[in-house]
Amino acid sequence: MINNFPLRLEQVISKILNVTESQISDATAPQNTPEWDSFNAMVLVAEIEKVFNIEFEFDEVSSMTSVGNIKSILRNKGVAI
Amino acid sequence: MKGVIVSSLSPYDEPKFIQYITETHHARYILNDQRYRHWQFTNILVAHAKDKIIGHLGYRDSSYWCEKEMNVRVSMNLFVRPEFRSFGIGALLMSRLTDTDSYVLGSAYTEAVGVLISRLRPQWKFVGNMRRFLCFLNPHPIFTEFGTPNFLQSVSSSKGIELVSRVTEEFDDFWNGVRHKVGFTAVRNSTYLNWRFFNHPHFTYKVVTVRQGEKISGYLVYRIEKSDTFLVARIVDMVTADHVATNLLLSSTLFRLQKEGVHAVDFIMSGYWYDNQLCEAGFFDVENTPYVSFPILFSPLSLKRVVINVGYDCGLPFNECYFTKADSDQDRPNPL
Repeated sequence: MINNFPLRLEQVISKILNVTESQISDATAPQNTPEWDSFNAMVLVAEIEKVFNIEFEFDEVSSMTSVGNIKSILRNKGVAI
Repeated sequence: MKGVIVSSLSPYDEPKFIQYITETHHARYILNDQRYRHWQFTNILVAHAKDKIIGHLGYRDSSYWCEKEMNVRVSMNLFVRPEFRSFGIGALLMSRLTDTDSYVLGSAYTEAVGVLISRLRPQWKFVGNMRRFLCFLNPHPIFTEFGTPNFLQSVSSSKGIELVSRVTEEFDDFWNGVRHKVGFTAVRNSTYLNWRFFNHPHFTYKVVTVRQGEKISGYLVYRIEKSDTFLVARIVDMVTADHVATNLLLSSTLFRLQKEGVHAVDFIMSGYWYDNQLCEAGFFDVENTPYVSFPILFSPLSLKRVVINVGYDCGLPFNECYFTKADSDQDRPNPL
């Protein structure tokens, strides 16, 4: 597992969605977070790719329906979070 | 993100695009009409993933007057398959559209699209809604539920106006003489007018002009729409040099339409350029009247109120701009 990143996932999400880390849980999703709109989804994917030095496949992006799902996808790519 | 490709719609994409539109709308939806697409759009961006089209965004690069002639990118039609929303596909498409030095103009967009454009273009903002004027010429049962309207009683004859079948260079001289009156508006030279009103793949527009001496002093464009037994004339554009021309165009056109059995006439536009002349001719502003909910879509008839909002990034006040229903893709067929 790789675990040598400048930011944690919650910090990345907090920065892009402009919400506090305490507001973020595995259940955080576009449906319950107005800040998670199409623009922020695009920026979020790009920022996670940059911070964790990975590249998502479209199938993975289209599975990102919540923070919990993002964590699962990252773990499957060998990212320790 | 790997696996999503944004490209311009090409002839090779045609079968996939038709399948995509049919699945997300219906087979006869206007975007399945290739002639319409070629006429309306400069470009349609499509997002491909998993060997199918998952979203599209159409736009037209048009000449606008904003103290000088300049290109403006008019955003017209953004759609992403529902199952692929919230993943940034719309933003990806819109980021390509806004990757231009031109101003970006949008109308009749959803709130989400408005937010999206303003995120990509910080100067871009919602500026207001277009206004609507109505005039009633002949009785029809459709009016009953909105209250008793006042029908236009006496209209002067249609002498003084001329129906044209093509726009010539003399319209360029007319346009060059009046364009400075408006801050931001579509360039209405002969190229634009012929494309917009005489080359339309489906609609037949009537273009009437008025002259002072030998020179054109104004023109008005309308088309007649039928919904069951109801006939409505949609004025989609009008530009005049002065009030005399406006009065003559309006009164003569109404006379002609009343004789043709048209029940109502509407004119949707921005700004306050023609308020007095419209009211003198027999129109009224629907705002704050029961007719604010009078249908805007007649073919097919829809009772859902549609507000035509406008947003742009040129910075000029909305009341210095002149947009009409002929702008963007607002006046388009909606086959069922």
